[in-house]
Parts: sequence; C-alpha cells; structure tokens
Amino acid sequence: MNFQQGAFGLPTDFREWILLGYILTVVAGAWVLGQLGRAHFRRAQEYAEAGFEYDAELDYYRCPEGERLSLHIIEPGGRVAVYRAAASSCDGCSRKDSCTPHDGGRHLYRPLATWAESDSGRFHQWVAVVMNGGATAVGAVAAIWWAGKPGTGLVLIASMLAAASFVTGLCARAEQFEKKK
Amino acid sequence: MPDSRGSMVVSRMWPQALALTFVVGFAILGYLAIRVYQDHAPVPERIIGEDGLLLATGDDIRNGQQVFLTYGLMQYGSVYGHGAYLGPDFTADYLHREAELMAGYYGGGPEAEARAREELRVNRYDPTNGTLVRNEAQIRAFQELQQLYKSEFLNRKRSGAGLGANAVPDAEDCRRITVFIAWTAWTAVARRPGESYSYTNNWPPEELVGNRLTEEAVLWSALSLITLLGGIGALLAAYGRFPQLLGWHGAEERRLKFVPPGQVPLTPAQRATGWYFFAVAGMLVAQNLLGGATAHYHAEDGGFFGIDLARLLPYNLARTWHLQLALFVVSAGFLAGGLFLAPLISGGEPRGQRPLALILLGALVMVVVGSLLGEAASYHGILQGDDRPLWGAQGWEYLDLGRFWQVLLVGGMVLWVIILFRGLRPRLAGESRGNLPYLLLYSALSIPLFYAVGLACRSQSTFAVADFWRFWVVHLWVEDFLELFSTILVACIFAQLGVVSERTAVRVVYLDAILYSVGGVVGTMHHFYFSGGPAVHMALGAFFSAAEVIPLTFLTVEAWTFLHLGARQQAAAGPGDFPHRWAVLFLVAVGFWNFLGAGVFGFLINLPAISYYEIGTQLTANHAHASMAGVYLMLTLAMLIFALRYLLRPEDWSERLIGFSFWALNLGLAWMVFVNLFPLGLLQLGDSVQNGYWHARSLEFFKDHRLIEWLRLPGDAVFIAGGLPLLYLTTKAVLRPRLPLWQGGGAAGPLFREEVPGRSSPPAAPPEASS
Repeated sequence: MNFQQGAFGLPTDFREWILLGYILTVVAGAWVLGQLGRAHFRRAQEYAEAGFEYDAELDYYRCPEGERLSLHIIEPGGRVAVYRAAASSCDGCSRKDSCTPHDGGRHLYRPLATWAESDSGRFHQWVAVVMNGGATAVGAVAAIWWAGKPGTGLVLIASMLAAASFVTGLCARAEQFEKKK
Repeated sequence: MPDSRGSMVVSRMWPQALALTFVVGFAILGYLAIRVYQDHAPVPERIIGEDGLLLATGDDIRNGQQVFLTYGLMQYGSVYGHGAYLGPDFTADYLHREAELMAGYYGGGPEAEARAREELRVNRYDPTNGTLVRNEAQIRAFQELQQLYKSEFLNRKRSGAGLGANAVPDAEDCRRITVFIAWTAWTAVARRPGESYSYTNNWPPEELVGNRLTEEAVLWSALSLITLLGGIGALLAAYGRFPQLLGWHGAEERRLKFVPPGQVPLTPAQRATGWYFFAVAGMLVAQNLLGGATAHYHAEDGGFFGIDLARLLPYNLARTWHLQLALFVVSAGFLAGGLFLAPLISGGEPRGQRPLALILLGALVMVVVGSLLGEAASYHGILQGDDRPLWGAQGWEYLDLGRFWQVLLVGGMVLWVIILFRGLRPRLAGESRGNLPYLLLYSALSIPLFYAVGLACRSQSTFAVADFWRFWVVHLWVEDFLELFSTILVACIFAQLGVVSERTAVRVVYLDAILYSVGGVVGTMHHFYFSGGPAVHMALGAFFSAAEVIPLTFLTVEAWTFLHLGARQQAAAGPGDFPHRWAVLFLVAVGFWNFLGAGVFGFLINLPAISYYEIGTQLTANHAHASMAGVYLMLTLAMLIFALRYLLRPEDWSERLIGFSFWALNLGLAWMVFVNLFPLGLLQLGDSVQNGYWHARSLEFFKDHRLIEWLRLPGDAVFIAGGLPLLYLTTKAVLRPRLPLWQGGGAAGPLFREEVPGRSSPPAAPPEASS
C-alpha cells in the first residue's frame, strides 16, 4: 500500500489509514450505541403496551377492543403512572382470559422516567463516553507517532471530533446528575 | 396408567424442532469427525536426508509436541495461529526463517528464493513407508533454527521475551520441540496430495513460499456473506410476518410486592452457596490481577516497574492461570447459580443437599488449587516424564490442566447434576418433560457431557485431531451449551422475579436453543480452518458460522430488549421496592456485550478470508475479552449479586459498593477494548497483510506499539478494582451468615406476591419460616 507522498494531505502510512478509520468508526459507533439503547428501551415499552394505543393529548390508552384505560394513579415518587380499564368492561370481554387475570380490570404501567434518566440509559451513555474517550486517546497516540508526517492533520481532526463527542457526553451526564440531585 | 404430569406450556412443535436441529447438526459434525481422522496432515514415522541418514522420527514429533505443550509454550506463542499472542506463531516464524535461510544457502537473490520456494512446496512424504525426505538446505535451516529457538526462547541465559531463564533446560527437549515446530511448518507449505494448496489451506500467508489465500477460502467467504445477508433479510421478513409468535407481546405486566430479602428464608444448600460465591469473587480478583500482569508483558517485555516478573511469573504461566481461572469463575458461578435457584423452583429441598454441596465445593477447590499448582510444576520442570501431562499441564489452550484434574472436574460436574436433580425432583415429578425445570436439568447435563469431550485431546494426539475435539469444548461447551444453560438460568430468574410468565420464558429458551444450534453446532469448525484438517471443514465451518450470525443478530437484539424488561420491572415495582436493581443492570450489560463482543467482534473475524490474516492477533483477544468477560462474567456476577441479596444480612448490603463494581467492571472493560485490543488488533491485521503474518506476530510488533499498550493500564486498574467490593461482600456473607433458615414445611420462596395497584396492602409477611 503506497500512497502518493503528501497528496491532498492524505496519510502515506497504512497504519494512519487504519487508525483514522478506527477513530471515525468508534465515534459513529458510540452514537449508534445511544440510538440502539434508546430503541431497546422503547421496544420494551412497546412490548408491554402491544395492541394498546396511547393518546398523549388526553393521557389515556385504548385497548384492542376499543375500551378506554384512564389514568388511575401516579405512584409515590412519580416514576410510574398506572392506567386502568373499568372492571365491568373487562368482565364482559371475550379476550379477558388472554388479556388480564384480574377482576379489577386490565392495568397498564407507564414509566415516567425518560431513557436518559433510567439505569439502562446511564449505562449506555457512559459506555459511549468511554468509547469517545478511547478514540481520543488513540488519536493522541497516532499524532505522537506520526507527528509531522502527511495525514497527521486528518488524524488530528478526527481526534478532535472524538474529543468533542467525549466532552459533550460528559456534560450530558453531569447535567443528569445535577437534575437527579 | 394416566400421566399425572402437568401439560406443556408451549406447543410440542418447539421440542420437536429442537431435537431435529440437534440431530442434523451433530450428524454433520459426526461426518466431519470421520473426515478429520482420515485426512489430517500426516505425521511421518521417519524423516531422512537425501543420503538416507535418519534425522528424526514420528516419536520425536509427538514427544516434541508433548514437551511444547507441557512447558506451556502454547500459552506463550502459538502453532497454526492457536495459542497465546505474546510469543511468535512458531509455525509462521519457522516457515519464514526457513525460506530465508534456504535462499541464503543458495546464494541469495530472486533465483535462490524461487528455488527455495519450489523445494519447500514439493511434498516429499511417501505415505506407503511413512518417510519424509529433507534436502541439505532444509537440514541446515533446521540446525540454525534449533540454535536460534534455544537461545531466544527455550533456554535463554537471562529472562526476557516473556520467559524466564532456562525455561526448557534439557537440550534433547529443545531439539524435539524444534522438530515438532518444523513439522508444523512442513504441513503449512507442502502441497496436499492431488491439490494445489498445503495441508493447512495455505496458511500462514507467506510470500516467500507462495502461500496465498486459496480459491476455496475466497469462494466460501463470498458464499457465507451472501448467506448472511440473505438470511438476515429472510429473518427480518419472518419477524415482521409473525411478530406474535416471536415476541413477548400482549401479556399484562404484573404489579409485584417483593418480599424484603432479609425475610426470605434460605435453605441449607442455598446458604452453602455463599462459600461458592466467595470462591468466585476470590478467583475473579486473582484472575484480574493475572490479566493485568499478562497485559503488562506487552508493555514492558517481562519487567514490572523494576521487578523481573518473567523470572517469578513467566508470561505463559500467568496467562494459563488467567485463562483457567476465567473458566473456573464462570463454571463455579453457574454451579452455584443452579444450586441457589433449585429450591426456589421446586419450593424446597431434600435432606442431605448441604453436605453434598459442600463436598462438591471441596472437590472444586481441590481441582482449582491442584491444577494451578500442577501447571506451575510442569512449566518449571519440577514434574518429569508422564507425570507432566497427568498431574501438571496437558497444555492445550483452554484445556491446560493435568489429566487427573480434568477427570476430577468432570466428576465434580456430574456430582453437581446429581445435586441439582435431587433439588428439582419434587417439582419434576409433576412437571411436563418439556417445561422449564426439565430444560434446566437437560442443559445442566450437557455441561459435564461436552466438557468431557476434551478428554479426547491428549498431549501426544495428532494435532489436527486434538484441535478438532478441543474446539468442541472451546466452542460447543462454552459458546453453545453454557450459553444455553445461562439463558435458562436467566429465564428462571426472570420467571422468579415476575418479569415474564413461565410460558414466555420457555418459548424464549426453545427459540434461543434452536437458533443457536442451527449454525452454532457445525459453526464450531470456524476455529478449525487452518489446523491441518481437510478443506471441507473450512467450507462448512465458514458457511454455518456465517449462518450462525443470522439468529445471533436476532437473538442479541431480542435479548437486549428482553433484558430491558427486567429494568421495567424495577420501574414498575417503585423506588426502593425492587431488590435486584444491580442484578438486572448486570443483565442489561450482558445484552450489550453479547451484541458487541459476541456478535459484532465475533463476526469481524469469522470469514476464512479475514481469519487467514487475523487468527491469533489482538482482534481474537478483543473478541475473547468482550464476550468472555462481557457476557459470561457479567452473567455470573448477575447471579452472584442476585443470590448475595439474600445471603447477606440487610445491614451488610451496600448499594454503593455493588454500584462501584458494576461501573468499574463495565467501563474498565470498555476502555480495555476500545483503547487497546480493538485498535491494536486492527493495526496487527494491517501489518499481517502488509508485512506478512510472521511479522505481525513477532515481539518487535509489540515493541513498536508500546505506547498503545501503556494506554490500557488505567482500564485494567479500574477493572481490577471492580472485583474487590465483591470479594469484601462475599466474605461478609460467609462470615456473618444471615438468618432465617428454611426448615421445611413451607415453600422456599416465593420472592414476591402480586398486588393490585391503588389498593392498600398490608406489609409483606415472610413466608412460612422459622428463624
């Protein structure tokens, strides 16, 4: 792999290409990780609510049979909202056996914490912070190894992108921490 | 006589589909077993010069392999890319140097190189009389390399390169080891009869001898990729078409009131598991420290901040202990998890479980201490002759322990299955044979069964044959059957915690087992592309291991969501009411690492076209750490913390310490992977393509990249620190055991009761128990 010396400021050493690609991939991967973690959090919510439609404006659920589940209570601590269908409408429903074992009507639980406030959200966000920190450190090593060589500028730009993502992630975590306090 | 058993909670189609998957998978694997015995690279009975002079015998090769293994050289460097990563790959190194020396013997220059290349590629082995002929240039190269290996690695005057001084003191042993290495190099270059490639499918890549990727490797890599992409598309289409069948939809979440852990009575055997978890935590701390030491060898070449570490704890011994302890940590954690869960599933336990559990613990301690000391005695030359593989080290990576300890460990696992069976028997009596308690028992049975396959590897077995069976343990035992057992344990825990119904849990288990086994059973052969077996292993291994990724993608994505359901239970239970916040978070971490470490990092190195350049580099270590520590360790710790919640007195439980462990272990591992193993592995892969495999595996490569090795240190330190609180808390669990103790009569468990929200409920009463 021989690259034209210094053309367009591109790296001449295959190792520079590898680490340049690596840094950009890890920064992108950290972003994707956040999106995936959020998606799984949402899917877990969708599994629990499958077949039920939520009306955010009027704050109620509608079941597959068209019955309404109104807000019943918000648990102490404000982390979970409980919605309940009228017992009378469930008792006469043909789907009751597969829907709810309760005689008090079908319930739905809606966590009020956002993904970022959840333990799972914190885990995925911290891993993303470490990934960006790692990419920054690798970029710094690459800059030391190949200081002055063609292509170092590109590696430095990629490292700065990683550093910016790292700092942004840290700030977001600090903000959440303050909010929690 | 009417069957008094309950009915299956899922359709009978599920177990039938699983049985069919196993039958087909193992039939193919059986065929491949026959082929490997028929077509492995031959071991010549006589190696002679062109003048007819005897140079070496088949016994020299076999004994050389035994000495190589029992001195722990497979845990220092590798042959055929299999082994450890600090020392060179001896096959590739010998081949490269041999080609250079032969060209030098012929006067150097392109013509001499071409002559050496041709002579090396010609297969002069005569199977009718078992004789291999070597020419003068090859004999001289052997003599020079024998001296070089002796002075550089085997019998150094001063410690260095990761080994102590005089590591292999006997000159005859050094010669035999070189004979064995030279034989592996011969198999890597001599053309397989009737074929245009070598016994190792042209591995290693080496321009000097014309070893390049075979057409078969390219073809099967391409076909595997097409299968993978097509399969994922088909799976996603099926998932969209049958979402009700494959998901966990429509069930009502239950509002549960958890019994305070301090009020849940523990059975005597459950109490005994405190000692198991104490041993797990102790071994984890030791294993982490040893991991730090092995990593440090890459940064300092045997020194440890001024201490001559290679003299006290050579790299091969540190790595052997590191790896063996990793297996012991996971195995002991799973054994303890099974013992702890059995009374919760069956509702009680028979008399005599605790003494049996303690006997098993004693056997486990004996195996751990005995095998680790035996390995040290073997590597340091304290044991001699046949005692070395019997009591010391057999030396196959992952199956390092002496044969006596290996047999004892299999016996211990059988005893564990018996204990588990006794514990589950009350529940099994009235249960359908396809439901969760039976699935737990079947998967427990598979653990000793597939570990015992490793007994087929002996230190003098033909390499390809032994490697074939070795990967039944490394892949089938670890990656398939431990995975299956752990899935069932998680399903049991989630059923116990009310996260999912038993019906959902059973369906998840069947789906998991079927999808893993479709590709995973024959996919075992993806470890076996270049070990001297026939090309059909590479073809089927590549195809099925790519197919393995299809369900893996689905399963890891599903498992990720599945494990999030646990986190929802925490939210639904309300703040402070859910006792298993950290156990569930460890499971969320398992979901993430399973996707990244097993899925993404595993597939990166799976295709023959990649593996050809990559095998034995830090990309393999990257996959190993992210999946072994990320998945199996986190899973073990999820079980440990789940049990610890009940084993500790309430006042001894510390959210802060467990939280520290969780964050330190996960973020330390992430740092280790993203700062060191992954980028260094990519650089090594690039170096392998650019400068040849032998170069990428040389000690010089690591010397050139020391800065990135030092960067790993903070992550390792944080990871090591993460194990300490667990040791502290498990010590408390055994020194200050909690009451009350279950004494029969009532149910052991349950861990919660259901309540209707909004209705005032009395405080949770403890189940029937006496303190």
